[in-house]
Amino acid sequence: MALIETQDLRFVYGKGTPFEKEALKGATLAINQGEFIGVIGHTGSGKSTLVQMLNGLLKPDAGKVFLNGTDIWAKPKEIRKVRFEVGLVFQYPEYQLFEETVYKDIAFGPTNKGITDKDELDAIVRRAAEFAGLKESLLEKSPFDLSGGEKRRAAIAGVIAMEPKVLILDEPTAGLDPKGRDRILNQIRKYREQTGSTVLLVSHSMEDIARIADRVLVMNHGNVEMFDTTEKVFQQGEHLAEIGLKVPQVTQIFLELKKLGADVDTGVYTMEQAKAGVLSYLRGSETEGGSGA
Amino acid sequence: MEHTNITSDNLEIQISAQDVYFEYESTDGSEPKQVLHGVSMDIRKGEFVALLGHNGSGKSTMAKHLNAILLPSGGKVLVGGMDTADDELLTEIRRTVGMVFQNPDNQLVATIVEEDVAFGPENLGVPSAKIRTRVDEALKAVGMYEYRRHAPHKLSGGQKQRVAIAGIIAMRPKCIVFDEPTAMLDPRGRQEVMETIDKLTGELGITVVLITHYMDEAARADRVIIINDGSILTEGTPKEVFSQIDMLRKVHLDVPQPTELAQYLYDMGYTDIPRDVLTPEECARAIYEARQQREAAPQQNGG
Repeated sequence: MALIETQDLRFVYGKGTPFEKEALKGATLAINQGEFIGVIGHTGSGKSTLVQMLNGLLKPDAGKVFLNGTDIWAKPKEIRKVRFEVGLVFQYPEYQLFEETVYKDIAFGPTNKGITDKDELDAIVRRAAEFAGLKESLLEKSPFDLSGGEKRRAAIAGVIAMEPKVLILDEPTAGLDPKGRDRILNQIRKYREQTGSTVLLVSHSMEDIARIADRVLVMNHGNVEMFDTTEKVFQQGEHLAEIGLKVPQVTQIFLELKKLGADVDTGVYTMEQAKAGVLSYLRGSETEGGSGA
Repeated sequence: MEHTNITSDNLEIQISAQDVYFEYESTDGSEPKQVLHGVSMDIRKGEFVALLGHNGSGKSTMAKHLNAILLPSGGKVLVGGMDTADDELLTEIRRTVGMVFQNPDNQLVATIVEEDVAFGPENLGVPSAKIRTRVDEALKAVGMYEYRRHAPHKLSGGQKQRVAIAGIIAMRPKCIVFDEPTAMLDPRGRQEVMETIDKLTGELGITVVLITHYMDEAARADRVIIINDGSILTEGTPKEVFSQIDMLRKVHLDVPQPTELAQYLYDMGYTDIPRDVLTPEECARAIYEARQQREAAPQQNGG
């Protein structure tokens, strides 16, 4: 049984107003325990709407979301429980920080989950802060005095502190520099390894998705356009370009080679694969010359 | 190029930063934080310069000196010969150098696109008859003319950012400084903004300073400057700078994938592949040609 399943999810924003917009037009998909899913799609493709439905933040107009085989809206009063199991880090961390101090902000989730022991709570908060790469000295500050990167780390710490079984991050690296980005991606990878959690990462960076995801979900105009292994998705370079997306630069190199007439496999999406692929292409003609470069 | 006299050479320089130091005052009584340690750079008229560096390197602080948002604590910045420390010249300096920021939502103020674009020139006291022309021209330049009656908040990120750029163009600046204008955008939005920047530097002849973390964007510039720990670490053409991949790694910048692949191949003995390729197209062509040559003369290669 899949951990998360959705059936024909539909959602319309601003129903009955002149701004009515159909954000999801029937999304059906299944995600297994422990998978690392990359989610891509241009702005307005429905990806943020979809992930907000997976933790019950938005209620579908039609269709169902199953978590461990249970319809999450079967008992609407218990929807909060779903939010402890499926943690969502928003694209704009400003929207989820609201307490007077960073410490209180991180403690909010575990407190609501029912952790009352002060020492236990303290340990959870400090562990989560350290995990997200947040300095101790920032814990007593107001979240609004933090820099952009620090706010994002505080938001991640707040979600990690709930120890969710499913961790969803909406553009967690947007606006960060390469060092900050690598650090957050590594921590996410670590969290998954340590806890066996399922992770959904929404990103505009095809290079990041290529490095980290097992499968890639491609959203387009409110529909699931593709949902397949990372390799198979990035083989569809032209298709991705048509819907406003890109492929990693190494994949572009192989697509260009193919265009020039080279006989190469275009299912390449990491640097390691590219190195091996190009070497074998270059060596292909050298057997006669007997040279090993 | 005019090399006939010194004055015309001086006129070519749009912005000159001379040994700029900057420190943030601390709020809690501790030592002030040194951010810039003697940065000097000349940006020429019509030039497209990319400024790179990790967060906290001082690049955004430097950029804010270029139109007097910040003033140096040591050294000086001249914009078209005007000292940014001179209060009297502030309006003229801001008119000369415009700025576009990361988040377009914080830059748009009006409820209709064309009103937003008109906001800047109105503040500059441009007569209303002229504002109409300027707004139309600016919106056409960024390809947003047909959206002139739309509400800015309904536009995509790339469209919003283009409206923000139009608002700056309408003030007829000689230079525009972009502080990570694509950081919050999806691939299509990024492409729209970069095409607009190409147009500014090309057809419109506007000087552009672009701060970015994306190497493929910086690769379009005439010159790349890397700032690290408040000083200029290196500068040169994109090819000169990005081919130094060990240096890029050391200062926590991304290495363009085509460059990394080409250097790997070079190190593996394929020395006819240039070490400074930047784009996927260049890289693919170099690999393809290397193989073609080996096919033509297999006995002469790689042995």
